[in-house]
Amino acid sequence: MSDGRPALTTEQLRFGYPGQSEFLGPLDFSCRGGEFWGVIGPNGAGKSTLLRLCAGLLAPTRGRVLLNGRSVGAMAPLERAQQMAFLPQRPIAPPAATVREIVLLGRYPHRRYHVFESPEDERVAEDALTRTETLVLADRPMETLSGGEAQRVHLAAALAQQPRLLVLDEPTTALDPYHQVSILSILRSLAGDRGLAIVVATHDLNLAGRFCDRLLLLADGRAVCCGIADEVLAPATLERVYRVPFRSIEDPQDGRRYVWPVVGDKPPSPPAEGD
Amino acid sequence: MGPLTPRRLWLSVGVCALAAVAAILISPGVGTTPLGLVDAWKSLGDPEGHAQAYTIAFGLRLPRAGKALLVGMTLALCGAVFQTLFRNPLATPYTLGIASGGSLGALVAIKLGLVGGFLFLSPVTLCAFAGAAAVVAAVATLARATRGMSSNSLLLGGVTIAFFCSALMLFVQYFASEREAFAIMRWMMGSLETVGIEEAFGLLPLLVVAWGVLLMQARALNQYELGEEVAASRGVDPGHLQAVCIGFASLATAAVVSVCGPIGFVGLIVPHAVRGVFGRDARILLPTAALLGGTFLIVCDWVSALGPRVYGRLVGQEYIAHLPIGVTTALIGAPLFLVILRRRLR
Repeated sequence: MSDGRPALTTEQLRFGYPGQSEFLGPLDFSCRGGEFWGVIGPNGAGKSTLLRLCAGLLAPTRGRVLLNGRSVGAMAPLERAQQMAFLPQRPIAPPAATVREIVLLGRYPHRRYHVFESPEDERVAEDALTRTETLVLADRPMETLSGGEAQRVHLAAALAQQPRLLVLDEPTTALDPYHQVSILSILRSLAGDRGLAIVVATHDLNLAGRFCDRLLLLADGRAVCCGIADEVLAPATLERVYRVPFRSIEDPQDGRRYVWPVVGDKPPSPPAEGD
Repeated sequence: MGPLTPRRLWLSVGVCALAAVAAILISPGVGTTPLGLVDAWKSLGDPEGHAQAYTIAFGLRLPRAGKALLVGMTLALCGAVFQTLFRNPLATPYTLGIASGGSLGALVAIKLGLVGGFLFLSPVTLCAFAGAAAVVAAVATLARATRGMSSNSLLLGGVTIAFFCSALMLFVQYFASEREAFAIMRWMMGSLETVGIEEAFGLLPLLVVAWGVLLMQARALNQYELGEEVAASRGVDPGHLQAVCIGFASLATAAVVSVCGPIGFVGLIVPHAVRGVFGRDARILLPTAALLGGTFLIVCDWVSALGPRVYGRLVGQEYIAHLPIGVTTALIGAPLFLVILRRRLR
């Protein structure tokens, strides 16, 4: 499915809220179909803002976001929604709605002018449920699900949109290790066999390094480092950005490098401005 | 409840429509005077012979029920739309202050004794529109000034504006003559009698357009339940949806407020009850809430007519009076709302 063309490209992307100076950018990066990108960085570095710009929810003050070569800002909302799905940090859902209803809502961009879902919509929803291992939950109300189950359902709804690009803001925050790994494995396989371009913001450096093809390290709205995990997750770089000492170790079993902040006796110096 | 199927939608809407039709058919037989259903419908066969019965049943009661249907449908539909749009069970044209703005506008027109009008709209209706629009503008400005304002703050703002409008209404009433003050008082209680039937049905084209536009937003409103950002990422234009919903719901609310005064609780409890029975999907919620809102208001009108008679019998006196319907909806609606609230909280 991956044609190797950049699915998502930012060109000299800059952003500032109205009346405020630009705090994000200039940023240039491109995520190809089949690539899984992780955006990391301290709180307030601009990760969520970057994701919203990519998803077309915010308009850049300067520069462009291109989706398959076309400017996101120039696309009609429905057309954009047919190509990309966005999952916010804390998705909400009506408590009484069933899982299947929530997933079928993802079909909206393809069925705007119809009152009912078609058999095709139901097939796509079923497929999304299967893919996220939520088919057994299909008839349960959302209020009865655990946080991890709910997150997988929201992911299924995003998949029902049949996007070519998935943008997810901290999809594993507040989940237990099993659900963190489960969500990221699903995303990994979607990039692999469906050729989806995936951009995820996360705070878990090791999981990001383990699952993502490439990492973008942001600090104060700028790209500090961008590349494969071993390059980005260097203790010296992380220490500069997060203002806590980092150490790394190579796992003798899989040869991968893992990093963690060193806990000293004294509290670390305060992090960068803004949160 | 599971995903909505065409069968479930049409069956539910059909049942609700039948309820509304049944209420309309029964209404000629219920009122302040002891004219029963059979006699009422008999008079239709021979209007000349049963002139008095015919006038009561089809000249007064039936048009009145028609008016109740229009008003109830509009208030319940607008309530359901606002509750979904603001993701808040307390959002209605009343809690957002829109109805109060409309009431104030209508009141000023009554006090000033404005005459004339535009097309089929009376000065009272036009002033109600102006008042409602002023409140919408105020609430919208408030929302824009505080970016990312929660629906709770919006409701607090609306309730504050409603209190302000109430104070202004009392102000206007205080300086009114005795006769005006009585008219204003009656009007503020919410009544189906304040404006002529021709005027009420003159608003029908406008109401039908508003209903149609609001019903068409059902699927976009379903997306809105997932939060503004997700809705936007699915291709819903939040600004456009809000403008359309608030605009048309305010227009329709102002229209019904101008013909019957403030009638509370219909927009609050009917959508709640309907959601419990037919589900929260806006595609089924909006039409069923509208139909049952109309039915509910017709039944409330019966209670308004029969209540004084029953009360009179209890205290050994004879009352032939029609309670203002706003009093009945509040008396029935408030306890019912508490029951629903309790069930939701449990």
